[in-house]
Amino acid sequence: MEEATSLTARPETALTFVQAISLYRRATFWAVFFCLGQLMTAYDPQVMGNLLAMPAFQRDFGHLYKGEYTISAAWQTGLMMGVPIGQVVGSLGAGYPMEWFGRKRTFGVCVIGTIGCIFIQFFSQSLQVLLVGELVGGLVLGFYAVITPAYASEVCPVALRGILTANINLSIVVGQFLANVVCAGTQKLDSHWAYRLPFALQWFWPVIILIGLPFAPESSFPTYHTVCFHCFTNTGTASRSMVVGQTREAPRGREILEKPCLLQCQREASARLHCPDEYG
Amino acid sequence: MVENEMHAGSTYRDIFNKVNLRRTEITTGVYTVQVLSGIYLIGYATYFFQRMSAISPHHLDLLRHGTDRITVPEAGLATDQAFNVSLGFLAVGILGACLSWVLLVHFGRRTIYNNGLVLLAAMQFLIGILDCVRSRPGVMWVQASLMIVWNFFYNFTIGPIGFTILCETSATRVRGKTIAFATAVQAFVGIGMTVAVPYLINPEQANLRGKLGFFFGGLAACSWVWAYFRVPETVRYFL
Repeated sequence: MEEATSLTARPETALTFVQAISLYRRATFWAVFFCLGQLMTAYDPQVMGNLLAMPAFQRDFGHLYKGEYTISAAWQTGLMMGVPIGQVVGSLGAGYPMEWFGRKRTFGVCVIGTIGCIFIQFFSQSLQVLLVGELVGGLVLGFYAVITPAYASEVCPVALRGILTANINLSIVVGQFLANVVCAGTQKLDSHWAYRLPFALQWFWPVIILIGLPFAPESSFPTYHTVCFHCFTNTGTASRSMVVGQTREAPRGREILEKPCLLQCQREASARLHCPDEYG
Repeated sequence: MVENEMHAGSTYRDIFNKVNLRRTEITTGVYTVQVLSGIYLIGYATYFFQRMSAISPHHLDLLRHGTDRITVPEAGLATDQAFNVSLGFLAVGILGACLSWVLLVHFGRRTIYNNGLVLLAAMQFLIGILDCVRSRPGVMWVQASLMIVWNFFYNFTIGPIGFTILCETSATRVRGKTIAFATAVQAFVGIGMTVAVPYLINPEQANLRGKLGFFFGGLAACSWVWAYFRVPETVRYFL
C-alpha cells in the first residue's frame, strides 16, 4: 500500500527510465505512433531526390540531351522545392486547426489528405502534374511536422518526454532510410513501376494510421475545453490520473479540480463560463 | 478580457508577446540550427564518395576546364555503390539516433546541445582544412570518413535534442503555433540552402568542394555562441 501511494504521489520526474517506460506503456506507444507522420514527411522528399537519378524516371519525364535523357536543372530544383515550400505554408496553417479540433482529428484529416495527394503523384505523367502533387503533398506533410512534436510532447510524462520527442529525429532518419531502400530495390526495374512503386508504398502508412487512430487518446493541450491544463501539469495531482490512464490525456470532469493550484484559481472563473457542465 | 482570450484560443501574435518571445526565439533558433550546422554538406557526401577515386589530378584539371562530362573510372563508385553508401550513411544515423537515448538519460539538454555543436563545428572546419591540403591522395577518404562521423554525431546530439528542446521550451498554450513557426522558419532556411549549396559545390561555379566545411563550420560556430547564451536547461522542468 505504502509503495503504491509513493509511486503515484511522488513527482513523475523521480521515476527511472525503465520504471517510466513500463508505467507509461500506452503513452510511449502513442507518441511513437504519431511519429509515423514525421516518417512520411521525411520519406517523400527523399524519394523525389532518388527518382531524379533513376534511369526509368529520367526516360519517362526527361528530355533527350546529347543522346541521354535528362531532367533540366530548373525542374530538378523545382521538384526538390515542392515539399519544403508546401511545408512552410502547411506548418503555419497547422497552428489553428490543431487547436480548434485537437491533434488527433487534425492528424486524421491530414492522413486522408495524404492518401489523395499520393494519387496525384502516382498517376502523374508529366513534370507539371508531379510538381503539383509534390506541392500539395508537401502542404499536408507540413501539418505532420507540427502535429508529431506537439502530440509526442503532450501525451508523454516528463520522465519520458526527452526520449519520446528525440525519437522524432529517429523517425526522420528511418523514413529517409526506407525511401533509399525502396528506391535501391526498384531502380533496376525497367517499367514505370520503378518510380510508381516508391510513390504507391506511401499509401501503407496512412492505412496503418487510420486503423490505429480511433484508439488514440487526445493529448492534453489547452483548448477552451481544458483551460485548466496548466494546473493539471503543474501540480502533483497530475500523477494520479496519469497512472490511472497511463497517458497524459486531456483531463476530464472534476478530476483535476481535486487539488486546486494558484493558476487554476486564476482561470477557474473563465473556465466556468465555457464549460459549465464540467466546472459547475 | 481573460475570457475573450481563452475563447478565441491563441493566435500567431501571441508567440511574439512579452511572455512567449524568448521561448519562440529558443525553439526557432534550436530548430533552425539543425539546418545551419551543416547537414546540407552531408547531403553531398554521396557525391564525394562517387568522385572519390575518380578524381585524380588529371580529372581535377578536366573539371576546372569545364568539360561537361567526366567519365568515372572503374575504381570510382558506380551509381549502384553510391546507393549502398547512402544507405550506410543513413544506417549510421539510425545508430546515432538510438544511442542518443542513453545520452538523454544521463545528461542535460543544454549540455548535449552545446557540446554537440562544438564537435560538429570542429569537424566541419577539419573537413575544410583538409580540403586545402588535398594534394595527397588519401585526403578525400579522410574527408568522407569525417562526414560519416559527423553524421553520427549529428543524429547523436543536435538532431534528437533539437526536437526535445523544441517541444519542451514551447509554452503549452501556444505550443502548436510555436512549433509551426519554428518549422516554417527551418523549412525556409532549408529552401535557401537547397538553392545555394549546389552553386557552392558545382565545379563550374564556386567549386568550394570540402571548403564548404569552413562555411558551415562558421555557421555552426555562430550557432554555438547563440546557444551558449540563450539555450536553457529544460530537463525535469514543467514548462
